[in-house]
Amino acid sequence: MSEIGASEIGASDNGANSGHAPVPRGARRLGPDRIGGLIAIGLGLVALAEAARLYHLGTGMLVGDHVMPGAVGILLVVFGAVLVIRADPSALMEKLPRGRTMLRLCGSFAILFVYWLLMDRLGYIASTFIVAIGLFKTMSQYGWVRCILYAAIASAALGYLFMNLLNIALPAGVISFG
Amino acid sequence: MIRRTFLGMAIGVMVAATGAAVSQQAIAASPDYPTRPIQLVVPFTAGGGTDLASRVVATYLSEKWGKAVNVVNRPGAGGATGTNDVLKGNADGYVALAHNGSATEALIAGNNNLPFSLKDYRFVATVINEPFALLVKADSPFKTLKDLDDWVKANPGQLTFGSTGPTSIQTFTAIQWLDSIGADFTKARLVPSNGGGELLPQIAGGHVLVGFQDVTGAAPLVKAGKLKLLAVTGPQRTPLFPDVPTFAEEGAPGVTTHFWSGISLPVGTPDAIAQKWETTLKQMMDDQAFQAKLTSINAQAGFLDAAAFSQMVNHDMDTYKQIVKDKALIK
Amino acid sequence: MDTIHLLIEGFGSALTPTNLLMAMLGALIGSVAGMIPGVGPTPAIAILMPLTTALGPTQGIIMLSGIYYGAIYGGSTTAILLNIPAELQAVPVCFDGYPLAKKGRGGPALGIAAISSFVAGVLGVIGLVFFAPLLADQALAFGPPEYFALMVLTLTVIVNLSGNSVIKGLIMGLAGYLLSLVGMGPASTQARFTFGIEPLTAGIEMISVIIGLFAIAEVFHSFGEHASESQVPKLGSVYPRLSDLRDTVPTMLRSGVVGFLLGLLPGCSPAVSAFLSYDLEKRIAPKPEEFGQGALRGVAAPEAAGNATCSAGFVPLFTLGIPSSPPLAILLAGLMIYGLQPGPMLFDGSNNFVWVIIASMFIGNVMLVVLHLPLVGIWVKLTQIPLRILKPLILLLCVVGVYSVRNSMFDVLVSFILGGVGYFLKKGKWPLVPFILCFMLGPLTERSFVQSMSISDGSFSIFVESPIALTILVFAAGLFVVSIALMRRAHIRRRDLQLAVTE
Repeated sequence: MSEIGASEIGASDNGANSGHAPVPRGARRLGPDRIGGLIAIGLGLVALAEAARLYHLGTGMLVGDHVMPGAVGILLVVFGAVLVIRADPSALMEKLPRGRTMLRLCGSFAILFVYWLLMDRLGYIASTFIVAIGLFKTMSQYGWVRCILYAAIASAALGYLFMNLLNIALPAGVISFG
Repeated sequence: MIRRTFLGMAIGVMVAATGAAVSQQAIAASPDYPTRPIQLVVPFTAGGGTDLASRVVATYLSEKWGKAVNVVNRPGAGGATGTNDVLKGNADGYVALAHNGSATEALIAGNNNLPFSLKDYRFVATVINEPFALLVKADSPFKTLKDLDDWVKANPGQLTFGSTGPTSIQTFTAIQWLDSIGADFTKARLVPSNGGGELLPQIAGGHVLVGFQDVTGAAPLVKAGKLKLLAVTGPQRTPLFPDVPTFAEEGAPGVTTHFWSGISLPVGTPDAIAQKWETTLKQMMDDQAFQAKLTSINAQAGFLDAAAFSQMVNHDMDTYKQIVKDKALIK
Repeated sequence: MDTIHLLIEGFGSALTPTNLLMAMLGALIGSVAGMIPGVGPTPAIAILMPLTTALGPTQGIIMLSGIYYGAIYGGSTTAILLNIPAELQAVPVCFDGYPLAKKGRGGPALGIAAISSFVAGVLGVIGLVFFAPLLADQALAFGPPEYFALMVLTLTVIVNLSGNSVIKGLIMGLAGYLLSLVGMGPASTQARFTFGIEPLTAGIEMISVIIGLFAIAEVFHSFGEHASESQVPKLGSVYPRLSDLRDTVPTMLRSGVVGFLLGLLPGCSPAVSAFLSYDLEKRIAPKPEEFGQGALRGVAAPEAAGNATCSAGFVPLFTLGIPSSPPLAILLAGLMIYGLQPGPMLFDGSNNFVWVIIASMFIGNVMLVVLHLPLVGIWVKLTQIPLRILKPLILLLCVVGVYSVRNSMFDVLVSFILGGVGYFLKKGKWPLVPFILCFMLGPLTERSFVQSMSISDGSFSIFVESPIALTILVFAAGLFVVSIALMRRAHIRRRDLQLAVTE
């Protein structure tokens, strides 16, 4: 199970970089350490590309904004390569949840992004109310009535605390106190 | 059937409510502005000179208008992030910008790809206007600006100066100074820093030779006996340090940079609201208690009305653009 | 002793029932604000500033110092009880605080944290009174090369915090460093690593990273497990035992002194000293293997050091007028409006007001302990709330915390994305602490390096010519080598054990 989960991540996160890196011995041996090593090499190459782009802004080999990206890029590629070669292929990922639990996990995570989309449009209290219903449903698995009740209490209390008492400039939107 | 009527009613109520909300926004331009709290956006982190000055202003306005005026820090990208948010946001007078020269004409002159320009501002008024000072450490061998001038000319490539970037006001000041004494700017070494809080101790500790800082920011370390001022920019001496000569007095005319803090609204803000801001700020500048507060934080009051403010920014902008072009500062 | 006489006079004007009430109120408001991730002291002080102007100087300042100390302390409450650091300096408090809470010893951990806070605060006030003008001058000797050396020294801590693979720790550190480079470059002020995404030019906010990796990833990490239970089935004694105190007092004093000395440097953040002193205590402890499993010393060290650094910030603030953090800058403005001018002459006796302030700071610290020891019982009840209801609430709080720092929804989005990344990193057993440590150190490391090279015109000799920088760098190199050697030995021993077991 965990191996399948691991190679899925590898495919999604790492497809573009695998061309640059030593090809590992088959996907079955692609443990979390190897995937990490490959991602590190990919990040290192991005950093080196950026360092090359910034080089002309500097005033010397070691003076300017390109120095640190370059140094970090080289080290990331080197350490990434070391890890890919020396990684312990038997190291496994912790089990990812499966079935309905995985679905609920993805659902809660998606709700967070909905929050981000709604906040500016509906304002803090209204979007928090909607999102809290969703989170109480997916994370806490309460019945709808309880979800709505808790969400109403939470959004009103947090809205009053942050916007009215602490004066934080959250988007006011469609519902606000005073 | 009943259900449908209900639904219809509900929609009707919602439409009416939305309509009411819209018409309320339209009324916002009426004389009883403000009707709700105002955000005064500072495009820097809390604690800087412009931030502190705007907190004093916000306190005054809150009392005067009876509605909260809240300072909101929205820092990033040298001030561009917060500035863009305000200028491209609602022009209803409820979001105002507290800004300074670094985040306005110097920022725009030094960047070709900013999403806003001077045309997007509705300038209201400046609150602070003061010179920059040339600083060296207190026990430095340079007693006067002339000592320093001679040393710089005799030792090309040895001058280090602190600045927030290659197109910052500090750099422009350094260029104007070195040009006017006939020294070569390209030989000077710019030590990049992220602001006065970092730079001033570096000068006081002798790590960086000179720096240019607004008089307010420099005052605590000068009074603590760690830094000394050799000259101030602009046409007159500053009342805060009346013993310090101007650059012109010391034989270096043409150093025109200065530090201002002011308040602007997005272009398109109703005239009535912008004028209300301008009048209230004018009254504020005449207020004794407000003046005393500014003095206590070592700030030098400097009021310019909307027209003078706009003219000053445009004039500075032309100067800075010319420097950027002459010295090819943008690569 | 003239100083002591002046201080007693200061206490005379500061100790009135109203003032004590103000101190208590301030400490309470500060602690609550500090407990919410990302909110912390800055908004609390900024909002209450106008209010304190209405109160008058003495009461206003007593309340403000209560808020300041309270907010600094509040951050470790959630770190200990929920494994969620409300601010960076609370990250090392999690290492041992949370294991303690899981064992049902959250109460003693909170108590020790409060006492460490108090010890550090008092050390800070004593240092301020007796050594301020002397020490402030020393801090000026720290320029770019010295700061760079200090950053390198702090980086050696990574080795000790990498779990069982140094190379994974190093990669995570480099990745964190890379993320800190996003935004405007220090020398050119041109955008880096933004790939055309406009909000990225403002850089990645620290709080987005902490909340994403430590709070959101933590909430999702145990998704679906024991959804309805609380994390601790049963509570033990809520207060620390006398033996606990005996055990941790030397740690508090050591870490307090280290934190105070580092705090004299305006560029040194409390998190740096919290990490360094945790590392120091782990190295000199008789049983270092207890660290990370729930050692009270592991709570006392970062708490005392971090808070001593915050208190020491008053030294450059009062003697030179240099604020080392935004809340101190706002505080300074407030003090100046009341007529205080910073400078070495502040302590020469001509200004009675400064002694009132110092007495207020002392009272603020005492109030914090007086307030919190009884509250520990209540806070610990947090661990009894079922996680089922707590977790959604934590997510909601995190969003406000991230948003409030720069009033930016983009920062909130970044924290969500990092939450997802952090989830997979945790599942793949990649250490997160080196990542956050390097992210924190990144900007100052780069700036001090670029500054050093500008001053020396591109020559490395600047790091050797400065005796302070050279000493620190040599020490750091030695520490690095020793750590790696110890690490290898432990690794080999562990592998032999494993082999023995499998055979």
